[in-house]
Amino acid sequence: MKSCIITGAGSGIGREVAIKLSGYNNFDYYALLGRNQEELLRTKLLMKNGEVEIYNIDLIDTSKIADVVSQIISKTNSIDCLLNIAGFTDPQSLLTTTYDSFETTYKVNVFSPFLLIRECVRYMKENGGKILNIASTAGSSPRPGWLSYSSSKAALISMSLTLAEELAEYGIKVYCVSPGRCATKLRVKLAPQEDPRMIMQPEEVAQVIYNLLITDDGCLDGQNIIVRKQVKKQIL
Amino acid sequence: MNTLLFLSGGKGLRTNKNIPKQYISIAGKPMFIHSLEKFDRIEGISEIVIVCEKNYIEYIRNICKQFNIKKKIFFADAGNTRQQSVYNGLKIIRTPSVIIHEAARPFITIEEIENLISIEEANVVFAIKIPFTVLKGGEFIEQILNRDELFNIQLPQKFSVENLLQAHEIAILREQEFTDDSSLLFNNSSMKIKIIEGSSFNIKITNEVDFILADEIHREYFSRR
Repeated sequence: MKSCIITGAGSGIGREVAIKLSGYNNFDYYALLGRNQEELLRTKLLMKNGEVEIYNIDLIDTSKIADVVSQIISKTNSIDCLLNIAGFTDPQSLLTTTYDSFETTYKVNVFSPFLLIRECVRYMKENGGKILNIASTAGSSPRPGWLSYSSSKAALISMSLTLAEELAEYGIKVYCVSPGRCATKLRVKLAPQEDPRMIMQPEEVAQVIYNLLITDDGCLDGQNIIVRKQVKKQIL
Repeated sequence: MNTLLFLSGGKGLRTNKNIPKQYISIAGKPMFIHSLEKFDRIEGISEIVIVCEKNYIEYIRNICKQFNIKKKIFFADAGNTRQQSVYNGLKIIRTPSVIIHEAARPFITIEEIENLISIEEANVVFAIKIPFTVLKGGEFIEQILNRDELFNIQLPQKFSVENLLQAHEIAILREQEFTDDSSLLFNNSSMKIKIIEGSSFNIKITNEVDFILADEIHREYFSRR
């Protein structure tokens, strides 16, 4: 059974990728991970093919991750693809950033991808597979006020590039996609004044991810792939 | 069916490190796990016997668990010599054929292992030509050896367990000590031992310089994307 795990599948890029992949019969089984059950159900309803299961998990609770992976493995016997798409941000300046906020950002953006990758690779290393992490352009060109988010995404970029080297011998390709401004719920927190209709849409990032997962044969893994769309500003 | 007899009893005296060399990291993971991962994927291997010092058993078990090594693993005590270690391992093997490999050769490939197993002969060793001059002597040169007739013998090696165990018992009676099992079998039996071509990447990590080479070999030939 060809299987795919998608975190952050309840909305934004995660939902669009799930819908796109299922539309073309790419996997037999999808595990959708997210913290909002209703949103995950909505994604499931929009998916066309494949068995879909929902795992209602808040990735802040990193202690549950190994258990979720073993539940998935007990059903599928293999994991072919892992998409770490879930993200968290709480933009604050240094002096107003609490330890808890910093820790939560790292738990979702860094620790949970690390744990998911580690648990999945134990099985994926037998037959190879693909891992894709959604970082951000903020990870390589930070802005004031985005300390925890930018630095966590920088960590995720570095983790992706390191693991691409380390896991290559198992036939595992590790991709790192860094979208620029994209109309997601997370972006609203970072730039509440922005008109979401004027920036890149989640479907467009999903198309890039789809191309990497389905058609790339090893030319684009191990790199920080920046996905940006030039959008003309409306003249008032 | 074959058992892998995996030699990990070395004390690492020649590398001047605090821990035995086979437990030192190469390309991010302990040296011994590189080849164990490969053998774990070979259908023709039914189980694994690891010969090691007793105080490393838990460590090895733990690493094997983390790397999801699936084959059944048994442990045998390391002896005072390599020959004793092999003998200790051979005694608990339950299959008719054994593949002997050592933890200090991390760069064996799946294709090479499968090739070794697929060869019909019961006793088979990898060897490579010697590309340099080899002389016999002590303080002064005593004899020139014809390198065209010489081979650098490598591991892994495949043997009939019955043949090799018998040859080991003869060696014990004769108080002989060998540093390699093909030499031991050749000397103490009439069995034919087939030579197949090995690989110069399948180096044995022995000295400091080998660690430098090992990282390079891994980067260029195993981790290349």
